[in-house]
Amino acid sequence: MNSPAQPTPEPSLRKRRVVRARIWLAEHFRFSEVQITLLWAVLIGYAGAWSSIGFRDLTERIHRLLTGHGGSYVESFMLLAWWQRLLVPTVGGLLAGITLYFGSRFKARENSTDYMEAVVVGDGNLSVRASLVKSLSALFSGASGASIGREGPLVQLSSLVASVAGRLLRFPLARRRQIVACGAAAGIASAYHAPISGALFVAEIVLGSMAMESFGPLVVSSVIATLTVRAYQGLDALFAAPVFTLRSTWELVPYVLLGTVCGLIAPLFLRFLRGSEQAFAQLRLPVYLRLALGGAIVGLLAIYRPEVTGNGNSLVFEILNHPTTWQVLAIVLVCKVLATGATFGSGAVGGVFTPTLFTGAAVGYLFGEACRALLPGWGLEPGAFGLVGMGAFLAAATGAPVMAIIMIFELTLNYQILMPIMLAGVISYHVSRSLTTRSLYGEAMKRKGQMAVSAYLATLKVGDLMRPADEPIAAEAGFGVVVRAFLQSRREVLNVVENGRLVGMISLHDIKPYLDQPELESLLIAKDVMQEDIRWLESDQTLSEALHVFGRAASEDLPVVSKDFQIMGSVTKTDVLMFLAGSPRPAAA
Amino acid sequence: MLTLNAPPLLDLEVPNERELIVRAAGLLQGRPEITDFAGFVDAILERQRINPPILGNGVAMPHARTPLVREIVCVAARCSSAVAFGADQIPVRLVFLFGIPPRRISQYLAVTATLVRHLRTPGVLERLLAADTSAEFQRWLS
Repeated sequence: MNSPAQPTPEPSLRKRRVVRARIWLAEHFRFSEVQITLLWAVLIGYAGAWSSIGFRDLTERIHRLLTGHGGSYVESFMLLAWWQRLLVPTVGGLLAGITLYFGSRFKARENSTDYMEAVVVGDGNLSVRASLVKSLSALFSGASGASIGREGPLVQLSSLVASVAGRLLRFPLARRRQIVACGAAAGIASAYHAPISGALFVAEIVLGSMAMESFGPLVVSSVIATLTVRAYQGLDALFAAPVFTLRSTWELVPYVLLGTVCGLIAPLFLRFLRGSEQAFAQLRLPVYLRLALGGAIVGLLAIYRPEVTGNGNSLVFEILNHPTTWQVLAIVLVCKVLATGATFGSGAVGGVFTPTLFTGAAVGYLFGEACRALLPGWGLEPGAFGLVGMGAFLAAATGAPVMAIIMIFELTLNYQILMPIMLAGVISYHVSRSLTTRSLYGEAMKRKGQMAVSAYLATLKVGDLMRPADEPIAAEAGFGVVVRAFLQSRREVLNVVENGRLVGMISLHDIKPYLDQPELESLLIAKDVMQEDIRWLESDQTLSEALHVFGRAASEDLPVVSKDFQIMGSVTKTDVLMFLAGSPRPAAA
Repeated sequence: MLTLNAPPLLDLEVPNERELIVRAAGLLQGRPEITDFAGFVDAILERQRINPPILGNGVAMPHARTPLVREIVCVAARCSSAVAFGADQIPVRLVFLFGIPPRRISQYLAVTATLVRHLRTPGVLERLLAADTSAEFQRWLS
């Protein structure tokens, strides 16, 4: 046996500095789940914007092909002969219907084709082929002058890009759902040059949550999408309008009344849309004939008033800037609502966002004209009422007043009108809610997803969010192995196993000051420095139960274990929060 | 610096690692910090079996993290001749024996790291090995 030797020298200062630098780097350059999602949100925003730009350009080209004219839909339809006004939307509807008819066999059973359903209900997987079929159908409808918004396909395509990326990169469920929501936000933002509204639309209507875990990535995607679209299409507001000013506080009184009127009319508008759908359904026509009939009705109306064609963008601009007489506007309003009902009811793919904006703007303008006639000395401007009406009607129809208020501000960049819109929007929302709990998108979600929501949420467990766990460390592993695992993996917590069973966790926080002391390597093993009072998840726990466990745990990344404590995977708190943020409120219509 | 919970045992004559640990742990028998002395000794021996904590230069630090200990405790023992530790038969003359409650990881690491640094100070280990009395030993330890 040897006698004790002299003390070995301490590790060199240089070596200690290197280790400390590595610890610092490991601590400060570790990307959290949320940060990674934010990075992806940037890419999704950019890709979403280009999918929107591409769709818009393609629609314009087909429109030019069908009508022989460019510019706005109203202008090009005015240049057509009466029979062409009838023929173009009919043929467009027929083509859109044929696309759906032959494309319906592509509809996957497992993947959703509705972006809201996919985010709220499903696993963020949108069917590529079915989505493309719907987008192609929307392309024919939109290009041929159907009275329907384009935000639907824009959002669908943008969400599809995100969904495909999430699938190819094998994102965990929560992140996949989140980036599909980011795609939807990018779609809205690029459709209306409205970054705040894009994020709010998805947060308020689709996710039903403003939790920062989910809202932050939506904002990033919206901003990137808007900047991309603006770089391509210019910086102007979509509905640039004269600056309206509030001359007297008393002017708020008619705006309050306008809010009430919009709150009363919006449910009727929604009921009319639903009624149109039911009426078309009762005809029991094949989808191509149904859409052709819808197009023919739009065509017939367009013979009398070509203003009914298209989504209504140019009409809104006209109301705000160069209004016609109130009598003409009243006629156009009636015809446009009928055309929207015919298009929407026939089952054309698209959205009713812009037609809703027009309806609100027209109602507001007509109300303003009436007020101006009754109160000639007040100097009321019907155009300002058009703006306020647009916001109030949107708030009531969508059931999302915050989004509506911000949306109108972003669409017009008119700050002065914001106060009346806020007031009228909130009143309109509450009046409408007192009459019906249904809303524009709530209705669609209810129809397409309510059963699935209930079924899916009831069955969703921790195991569904689980991802492969990082390599655990053996309880008997030396301190040096522990140090190297932390330095190499940039993890904050290491799972410790003994005979394959989870027995503890080592927190970087506990041992960080001693990572650069190699003399401890011969003294300590993993078991000496692990925490035994640990939290874990089980795969059959609900997400609410998981959140409860996270509330009592120090770590934000917990292992999922089997009944015999074998590590099956891991789930992060962000995953659970992102998922729960995407769950619909129980009372949502 | 480190404060021992009992005066160190100096110049022990023990035949093996187990006996040295049992004798050193015996300094803590009856201490209020230890709720189950026999269990505590078993825990230390079990830890020794896994991988004896040997600093080198004739120094070992047997320890056990166990709920049978309420506060961190430490005692020291010195043998008159080296005792072989572990499967590698590493010679040990000086042991610092610790008992650690499960939740005191950071505190235990701090104590251990401080002791290790102190033992690397030139001359300290030699003086601890040469100390004639418990008081002198404890003075050089602090």
